[in-house]
Amino acid sequence: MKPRDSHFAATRWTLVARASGSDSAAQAALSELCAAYYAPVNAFLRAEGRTEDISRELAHEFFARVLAGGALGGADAARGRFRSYLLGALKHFLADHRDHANREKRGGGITPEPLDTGTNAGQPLPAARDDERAFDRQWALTLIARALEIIGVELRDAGKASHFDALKPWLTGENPALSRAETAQHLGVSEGAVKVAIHRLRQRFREAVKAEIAVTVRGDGDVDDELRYLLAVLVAQ
Amino acid sequence: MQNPTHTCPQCHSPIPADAPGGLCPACVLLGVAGPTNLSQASAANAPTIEEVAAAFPELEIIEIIGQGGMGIVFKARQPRLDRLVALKILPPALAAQPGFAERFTREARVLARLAHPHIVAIYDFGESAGFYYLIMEFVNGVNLRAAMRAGVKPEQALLLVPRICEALQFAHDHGVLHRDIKPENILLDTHGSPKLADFGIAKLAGEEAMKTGLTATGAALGTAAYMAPEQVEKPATVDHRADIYSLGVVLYEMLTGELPLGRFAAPSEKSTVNRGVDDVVMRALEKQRERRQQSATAMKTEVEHASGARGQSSLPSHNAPVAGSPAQAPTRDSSSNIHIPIVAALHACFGALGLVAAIAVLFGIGLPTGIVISQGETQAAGILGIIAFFITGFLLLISLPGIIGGWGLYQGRPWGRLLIIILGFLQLLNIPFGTALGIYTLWVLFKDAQTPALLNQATSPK
Repeated sequence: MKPRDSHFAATRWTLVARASGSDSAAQAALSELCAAYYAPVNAFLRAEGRTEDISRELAHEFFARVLAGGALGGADAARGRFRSYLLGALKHFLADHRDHANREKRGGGITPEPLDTGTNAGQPLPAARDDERAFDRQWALTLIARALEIIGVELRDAGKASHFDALKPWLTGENPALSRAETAQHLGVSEGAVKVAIHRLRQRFREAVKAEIAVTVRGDGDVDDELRYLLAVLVAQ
Repeated sequence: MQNPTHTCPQCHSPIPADAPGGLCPACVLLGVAGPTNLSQASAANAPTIEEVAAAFPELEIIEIIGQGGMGIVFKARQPRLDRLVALKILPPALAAQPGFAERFTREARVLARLAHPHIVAIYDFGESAGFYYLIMEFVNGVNLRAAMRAGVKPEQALLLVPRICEALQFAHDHGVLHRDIKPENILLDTHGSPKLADFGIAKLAGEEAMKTGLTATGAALGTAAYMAPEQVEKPATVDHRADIYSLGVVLYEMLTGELPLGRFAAPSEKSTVNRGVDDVVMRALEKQRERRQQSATAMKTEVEHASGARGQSSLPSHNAPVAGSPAQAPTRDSSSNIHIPIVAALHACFGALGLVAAIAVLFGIGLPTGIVISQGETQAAGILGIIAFFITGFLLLISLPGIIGGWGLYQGRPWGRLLIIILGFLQLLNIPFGTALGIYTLWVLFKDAQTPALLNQATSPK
């Protein structure tokens, strides 16, 4: 079968964002893109000290706003990366949200005691960079997970599900704990075939990661930059 | 496998619970960022011991002793000299890179000049039957990784690091960066004396490999945890302070058994070292290199000071060989350039003389004129006063930077060096003694390897 390079339709998010609201295909693509990167948004909200439930609720609200075209303005979105843009939109959304909550508080005339200690009400926010780091880190993990899923599905479709599980550890490189001979025996193929399979798996994985990144950036030249950035995020952890 | 799921076999950092597929995410992405096919090609084409034996008839190839980031290392014997050597074969895939042969020759020559008791010596290099090789000193011992598994005490760690700093400073003075400091590259001989291996090999392997922070075989992906942030983010700008960061990671790991990842604890919380050591380690691990120790010598001094505060009784003096190593010559001054302290002292002396002169002028002319003015003789005295004022100002202007810059240079501070370079030029005009001092200053400082890097930094717009 022909390998799919990405879960997404072959389009860049900037095009999607520019067309949002007017084009139903673009709208569907944007919603797909948002669903894919739900986890980083959630990680950001959690890193600011919210509970799982509240974070999920807020994330839903946020994405609903994004999809309604309320958070991703076309002109701005056409610059830069989906990752930066989504983060910017999220911060903007949260600021709005806080303003709104404060207005309601004042309007009610009664200042409610913070009952739910899980919210960040009354607690100092952690340093701004922690939540951003959580966002970026989760972004990188999501990217890896998506690429792994793509090649996993491909191999399963090709009837080689056990190959994927056995060969996956080589994606992090060589190490003495991995024996090609043992793997070959386990899979019932020759050692040479394992060598080739590892080589192909790495190559496919690399392509898949880059294709995933390509969807979220402006041009091909940005793919390597984004990759390096995400790598730096993970290394700095 | 030691830790089947919790530690990455590549970089030895813990694998987070949410890692996709249970794979170390940093190493997975490093694999993607790497130069296409290079890692696979080199791993698949690793030469066998028979092939190598055939290519090196003048050597007795004994065994494979390591498969490091930059190829395979064999233990071998040179029968004529009756000595053991380590033969490193670079990955064949590297040699296919454009411009490799020239770069290899150029870099290997530089490395071969690094003769230091704590640096693994390079005896020879070249190409034979298509293999690019380095013949190196054979170190009978273990690498620091193995030593750490066996357990390195904080006291030992604090003794090792200053010696590694000496080696680093020596190399930095010769314009060579290590770029890949990690426990695997720090060898300990049977006396426990450290020897840095694989100096600059990363660069020799090529700009492309360095750009992604990736070395040629998959096995080297583990370097990630030891790389300074700028090595990942802006590899082209890397300078000697990246080595200081990496050494900081190694020291942290020796003290705590962990890597400084995320929000890490201070070493004193995890081991028996004092707070002073915390400061040294944390400074070396600063994300911004401007905030790290600015030279290996500075780090050495700080480590020695901090560990000295534990009580000198528990530590031998820093000139004593580790564990009574007979092989070790008395520790040489890590600042290999003996002229630098002399320059610093001369400028400070000149500065002090200037200061004395300034005070003399102030009191000899300035004070009497003040008195004359107070007696009503204003016009002539006014001119004298102005002259005295300017002479004093001028003397202060040239003497204070001399004293301050001399001190800064002596301490190894970049601003001190810069100040003295500027003064060196100014002194040229100060015939005759100043001219001599100026010539001497400029000769010493421009011969020194650190100066070009400093000037680049000072003049570049960023």
